[in-house]
Amino acid sequence: MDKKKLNILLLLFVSVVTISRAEVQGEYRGKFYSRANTDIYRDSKSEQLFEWRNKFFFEGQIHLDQYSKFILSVLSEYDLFWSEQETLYKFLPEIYEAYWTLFLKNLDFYIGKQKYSWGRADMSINDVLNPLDMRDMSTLEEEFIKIPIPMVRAIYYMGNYNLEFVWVPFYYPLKFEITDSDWGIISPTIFSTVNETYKEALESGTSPGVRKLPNQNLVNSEFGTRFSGLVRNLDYSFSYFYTWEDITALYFNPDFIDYLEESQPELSLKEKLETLNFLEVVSFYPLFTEKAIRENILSADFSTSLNNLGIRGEISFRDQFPFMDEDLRVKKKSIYLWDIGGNYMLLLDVYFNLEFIQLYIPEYEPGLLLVKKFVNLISGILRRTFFDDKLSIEYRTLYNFTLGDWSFNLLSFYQINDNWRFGAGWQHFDGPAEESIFGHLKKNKNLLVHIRYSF
Amino acid sequence: MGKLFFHLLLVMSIFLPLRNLRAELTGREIIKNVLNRKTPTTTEVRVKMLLTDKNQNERIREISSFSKEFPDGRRTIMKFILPADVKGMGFLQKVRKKGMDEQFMYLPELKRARRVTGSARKGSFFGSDLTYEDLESRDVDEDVHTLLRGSNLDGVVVYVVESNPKDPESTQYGKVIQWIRKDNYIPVRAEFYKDGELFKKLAVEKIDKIDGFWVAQKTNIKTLKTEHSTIIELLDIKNNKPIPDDVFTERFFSR
Repeated sequence: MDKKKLNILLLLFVSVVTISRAEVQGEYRGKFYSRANTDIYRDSKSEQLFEWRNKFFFEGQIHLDQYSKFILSVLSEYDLFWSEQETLYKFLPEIYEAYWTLFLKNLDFYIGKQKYSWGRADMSINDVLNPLDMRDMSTLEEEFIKIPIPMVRAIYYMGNYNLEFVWVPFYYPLKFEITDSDWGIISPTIFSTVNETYKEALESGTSPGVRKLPNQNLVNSEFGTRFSGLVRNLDYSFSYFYTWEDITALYFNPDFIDYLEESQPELSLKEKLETLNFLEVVSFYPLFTEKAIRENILSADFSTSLNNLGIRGEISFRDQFPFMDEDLRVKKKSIYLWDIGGNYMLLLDVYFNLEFIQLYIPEYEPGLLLVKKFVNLISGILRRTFFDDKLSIEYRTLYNFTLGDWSFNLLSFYQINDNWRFGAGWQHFDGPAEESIFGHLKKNKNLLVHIRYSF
Repeated sequence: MGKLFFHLLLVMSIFLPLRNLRAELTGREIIKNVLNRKTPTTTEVRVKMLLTDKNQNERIREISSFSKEFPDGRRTIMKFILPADVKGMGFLQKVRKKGMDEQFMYLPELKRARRVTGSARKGSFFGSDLTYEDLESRDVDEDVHTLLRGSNLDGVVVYVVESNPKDPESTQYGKVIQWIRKDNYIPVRAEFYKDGELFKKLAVEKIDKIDGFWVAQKTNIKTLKTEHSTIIELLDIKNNKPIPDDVFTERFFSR
């Protein structure tokens, strides 16, 4: 059965159930976000100077009776990107979530397009059910980072324990930009000598690569299970998820790799890429093929408190994670990820959260890009509120002290009233440009202002 | 002479019970009576909080709350109705008779309930003058309770009890003084001290008997340093209405 047929069946099922129940009550909530970022460290006119992102979100909940409800939300994005060379508009309205819930005595069902959380840490490594929207790196609209997807969840409750099953019938990739914005994985400067011509080629419909992602049929389903328990002052979970890794593998054209290896051996990979001309790139079309990798994820997590310290920890094993080596070849490796963190209220109005995250690749081989055998990161949040919580200043950072790249956001928010919030801040990215993620984004440092209206 | 006798009788009628208070109960026994006060097995209530800052700017918070007595302690679950920016958020508290209380907060945007741990309990409860810790109950023997005096407050006889924590790390307050009504063991006034200074004041402004249980229907809490105050009103109170056990789990947040 394909995606379309199953969606029609689900919709019919939900409609019949909705119509057949009489005691309908409803509630709603909504938000409007508008954010403008300006990139003040550009060194190329092809980089965008200005981004204006707007999101309108509305959610309605229809309580059919005490045993079931239907949740429907819409998200409409209107974005504008401006540089001296071009202005891009994007209007992206969508049904954000649409799912039906059924609450039985010890069993709950959630059926439809939805998002959900696993894991307990702030920078959770176990929150793997929904793909992520990585089209920019803002933490301001955190609630929209996850992409809702069709899934069926069932949770069976046994007192302080519960057992959960998740079935994701269709594969959905994460969202990211390849070339269309400064947040793309191919930065405007990577083919610097051919950039302008290449842009023109892209606009005429040529892409540097092709996507060969899993078909959206039931054969490519994902499924998982999670057991959770709560004993005095300790909550914990064990999970298993058979999935497609969200980070896709980019298989570069073997002929292109051979060509790179054979030509100008005295140059580094970056230098070779920079000397390529447009015709050379096009002659190897597709430059890369994007594929998803099947993966088993085993994980566990807990949270507790010890005296005045809140503690959260997570560990995860993934059997096939795609890396790329310096010859642009995909290498699949098993990995371990774990994090441990604590939060503490220093004073009544000062909140502090610190997490240590480690990636371990047992079969590490030299030459893998962006990683070492151990990759160590620290994530931190320091927040202080003033004037009866109306004003808050927040510092968020992620520092990779293995690769030396880091980012921080310094943000201030002012709650004008119960509906309106104004914010302003600075987003900073830095690190070795070709060897790290935040280094890759270091030309995207930006100033931002934002406003949020809740209703 | 007759008039003097009458006055003496009046004064004695007020103060004799107070003098007797000292002889009746110790501070610990009074607090124990407060904690063991007859309470309904279940309560369903709409809580309205009026937050006022020192410039008299007002904000309203509205919560739907359910609580129930369990063998291991009382559990309370809340859902936020107002204001818009916290609509849909949830809060679950499990007060344990033995061991630490537990609190969880649910954020609908993230579809995640998260434990409110340790020191986060010192934080303000949704911008009010209450902290998460204020919502917890303390075991009677976590503090040393001293009956300071008997008193008369707004025409009712009260015990004035000072409580000092045995372990100063266990609470943010160095000292709490409570005025507790003798007739129903409801604390009607309280002063919270930090670092030797008066930090926060609580005053019950309306008290009533509903379904046979005494309820502080309107309470005013003021933080002296910030001049911020919170008036908490309990509306639509329903006592002893059957509420299923599973309402008091994280499961309820999704409902």
